[in-house]
Parts: sequence; C-alpha cells; structure tokens
Amino acid sequence: MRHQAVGYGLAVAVSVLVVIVAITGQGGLWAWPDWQDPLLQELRLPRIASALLVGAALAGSGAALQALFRNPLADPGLIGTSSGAALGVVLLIAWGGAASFGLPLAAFVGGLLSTGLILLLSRVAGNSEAALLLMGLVIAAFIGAITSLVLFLSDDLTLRGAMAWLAGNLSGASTSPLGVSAAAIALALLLLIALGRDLDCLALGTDSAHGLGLSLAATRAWVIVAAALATGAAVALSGVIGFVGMMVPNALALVVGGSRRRLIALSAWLGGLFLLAMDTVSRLVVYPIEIPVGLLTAFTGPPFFIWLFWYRQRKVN
Amino acid sequence: MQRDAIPLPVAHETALSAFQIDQLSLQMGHKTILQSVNTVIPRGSLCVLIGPNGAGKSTLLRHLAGLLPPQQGEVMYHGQPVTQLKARQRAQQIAWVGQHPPSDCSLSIEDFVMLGRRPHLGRFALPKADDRQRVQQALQALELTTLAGQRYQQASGGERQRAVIAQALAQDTPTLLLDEPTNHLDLRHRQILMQRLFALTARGKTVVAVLHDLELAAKYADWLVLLHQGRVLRAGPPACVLDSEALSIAYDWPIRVVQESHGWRFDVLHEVNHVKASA
Repeated sequence: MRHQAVGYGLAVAVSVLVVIVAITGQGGLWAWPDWQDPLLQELRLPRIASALLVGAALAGSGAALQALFRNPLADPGLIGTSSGAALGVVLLIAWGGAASFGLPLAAFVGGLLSTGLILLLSRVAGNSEAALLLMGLVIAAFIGAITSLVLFLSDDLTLRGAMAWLAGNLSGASTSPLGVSAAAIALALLLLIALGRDLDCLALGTDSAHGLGLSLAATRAWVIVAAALATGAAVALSGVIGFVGMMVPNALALVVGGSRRRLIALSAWLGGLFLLAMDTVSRLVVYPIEIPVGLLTAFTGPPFFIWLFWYRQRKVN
Repeated sequence: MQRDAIPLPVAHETALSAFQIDQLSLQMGHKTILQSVNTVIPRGSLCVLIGPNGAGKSTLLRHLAGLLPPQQGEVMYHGQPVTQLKARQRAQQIAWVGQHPPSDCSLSIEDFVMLGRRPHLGRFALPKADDRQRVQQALQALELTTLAGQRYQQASGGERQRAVIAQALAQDTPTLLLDEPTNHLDLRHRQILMQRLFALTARGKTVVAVLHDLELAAKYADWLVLLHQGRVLRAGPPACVLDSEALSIAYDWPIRVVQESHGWRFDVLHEVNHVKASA
C-alpha cells in the first residue's frame, strides 16, 4: 500500500514537472510564459496536447493488444493501422492534395481500412490469435511495399514531404484536427479500459475464457477496433511514431501488477507523459533544429528492449 | 450378485436429467476418443466420472461444458442441445474448471475470483455489492479469505487450484463441472472441497467431477460414470457401478471392492509376481 502511494506520488510529481518544462522551455531559455502569447496559444499548447494524446493512444492500445495476442511484443503497428495510415497519407501527398484536414483524414481512413482487411482475412486463416498475428505481419509488409512503390515513383518534393511525415513528428500539431482526434482517442481509451476485464479472462486460457461466457471473436473485434480507432487518430496527429506502444506497457508491467484495466489506464497516462518528454527533448536538444520525435523514440526503443531482456533474464536466474 | 438386483432409479427422463448424452462420438485422426457414449446425468446429483487415463473423461466433460462441439451425436442440457446456448447464457448455467490452473495472471486472488462474475456482468458492467458478496462467500468456502489480497502468481499450487474453484463457485451456476479438482489439494482441503460440492447438490445444483481417488468418489458421489476406452462401462448409483469385475477390467489391474458399514473400501491387489517377472 505504501509503495503504491509513493509510486503514484512520484508519477504525479514527474507529470507536473514534464508539463512545466514543456510549456516553459524554449531554446535554452527558461522563462515563465506570457499566456497571451499567440505562439504559445496556437503552437505550443496544441503541440503539448497532441503529444499527451498520441502517447496515451499508442501506449494504451499497446497494453490492450499485448493482452489480446498474449505476446509482449504486440504493438499498434501489428494490426495494420500504422501501415495503412502511412499508405493513405503517401497516396494523398503523391496526388498533390495535402490540405490541413485531408492529411489526417487520409491517415485515419487508411488505418481503419487496412485493419478491417486484416480482421477479415484472419477469418479465412482460421480466426485464431496466431492467424491474426501472421495476417497482420503479412498485410503490413504488403502495404509497406505499396507505400515504397508509390514513393519510388514520386518526385523529390513529394518524397521529402512524405518522409518527414513518416518519421513521425508533432510540429504540425497546430494544423491538425485536435478536437476530433482527442474525442476519438478518449472514446477508444475508455473502451479499451472497459474491455480490460475480458482481457484478464483471456489470460486464463481459451477454454476458461470460453467457460466464462466470452465470445472470442467478438472480444477480439472490439479490442482491435478500439485500438485501431486510437492508433488511427494518433497517426493522424503525428505520423508514425514507433516503440511507444511496446515500451511503455512493458516497462510498467515490470513494476506494477494488477488488472489489465489498470495497466491500460496507467500506460495511457505514462505513455502521454513519455512522448511529451521526448518531444520536449527533440525540440530543445539541438535548438533551433528539431529532430522528428519519431526518430528519437525509434532510437530509444532498441536499447530499451535489450535492457528489458537482460533484466528479465537476470530476474529468472 | 446382489448389486445387479438393485433397480436403476427412474432418473432417466429428460425432465429430471441435467445432461442427456446421445450417441456421442469423437474421432481425432485415427484415434477414437469417445465411442457412442449414451448416458444420463441426473439433475441435482453429485456425479463423478471415473476411469483410467485416456478413457475420455476430460473430453466428455469438455463436451458437457459446451467447449467442444460434438462431432457426432448430441449433448442435451436441461433438454436443449448445449451448443445451442449462447456463450454468455451458457456461462450463466454451467461453470467449468479445467485440469490445470492458469499460470499467467497478475491479478490478486480476490480479483481473480471476481472474474467468475463475468457471465452475469457482461462485457462492460461494473461489479455491484451483490457480486462482491458472492466473491467473499466463494473465498470463504475455500478458506481463501486471508489470501484475498495476495497475488495469484505468488500462490502455491494448491492455493491456485482453490482460487480456480472459488472462481467457478462465484459464477453461481446451477451446474458445476470440475476436471480433477482435488489436484494439488492436501487431505483437509480435499475433504472440504467435497463437502462443499455435496452441499451444493443438496441445494439442487448439479455437480459433475472427474476424480481419480475412488474412495473419495465413492464417499461423496450419488452417481458414477465409469469410462473405459471411450465407452461407458457402467453408470448409475455407486452400488451399481462399484463392482470388482468392472473396475478390474477398466483399470486393467485386480481391484477388490468391499462394502463396509461406514463406506467403500478398494483393495488394490499387488501383482507382485507379474511385476517381478517383467522386470
């Protein structure tokens, strides 16, 4: 109990600190902001909100998908949302239409379509978790190939625009449909948290879950649609940001136990915080140049996983 | 023998049966698991499935639970094919406890038992006071109250087994199916478990359990089904099933059944010469 209180206190303190630094930090200067400043109102605050939302969406979906597939390496990228969204955006840029609302919409539609396709095809392949996992990998690779082909055939300008987006960054936050995405992510996260009990049942094994009245196909569809909704909205805000969905829930699972419901909620909280911290670093570390935050998370991912495996191994021995 | 003279009780009518199994067969590859099983399990009975390893006990139980759709034949539950029940509807009627307690679970024992309320809560509803009370009763019934806050993963084999059974009790179904529920349990908790199950049947619930301990089965069961090579060798009240010849055939080992004033005794005869000769 006392450990728990200390943990929560620490998490709240760190959250407040990260948000303060994100608001005040700019190019080596730390100053209390002028709240009337349009720069703050129209650029930085939306960006902070997007970072929190995207991180929460990715990490929350990751925590749910890892339970669904009973595999700690599962991630929002696995259900085809990210790759489908990427294809949608690349196609739109290649066609020359990249208006403010068109881009996120293309990402969203592309993501949901490819996830739907994977769900449909996994029925053909036996409708098990393994079938779904394999179908997800295969279709994601296939969609990735189409994306590469489109990029290969396009001119330099398109390529640059598309690559910047694919690397994942939050600098376009001011022009994205923040309200719609926020609503979608909030709805999806609430759904995932509500589905937490079913995911706990699933961890008991297929037969036991069945015995508790779970319809496996229905549970799977609910979780994947909710995760796709969250991921689609996140990709629409920030492009493709990898590893957050895998890293945050896995790191949390090492220190907190309890229900999947709790892990999803905590992952969403700390995922948002993590991405905001990363984005602040990406903004400030080589000021005035900004590193795409997706690159930063991609660089932190592999070392984290090597550490995770090392730590687990040590715990076993 | 005298036992043959005892008439079968008239529990065979559908209205009084919990399960009615008609011509149930299961073939997996070249192996026959179940072969034209025809039998009835009376409502409100404590029915124990006995028989050697590989006789088809677990498979039959999984059919009763609706976890395996019949390849051939039919399993009727309260006069209706069990596979026709919707998942949640079935889970409100029948609880099933498998042979192996799950190993991968980060919940506390209390939360673990609370999962048994899933069929009544559905996908989204939160547990109410009534659900909590039933969970407390289930924890109490299996002497888990003091362990309620402990993590399931850190519990011992026997404690896990009790938690799984408590989960099924919390499910509060008219019918309870248990596959070797006495696994991992010590002497005291075996007796406690069987007494609890017996008490359930006294309240009109049906319990079907797979057991290897014949003495325990004979002591508590009021209905036995003896399976052998995928067939029902004997079925009925203990007096009709517990017969030296039938048991010796089923287990392929000489067993002498002795009915004493306070219960049944099973003399497992040692085939000393046989063992030595083959060694």
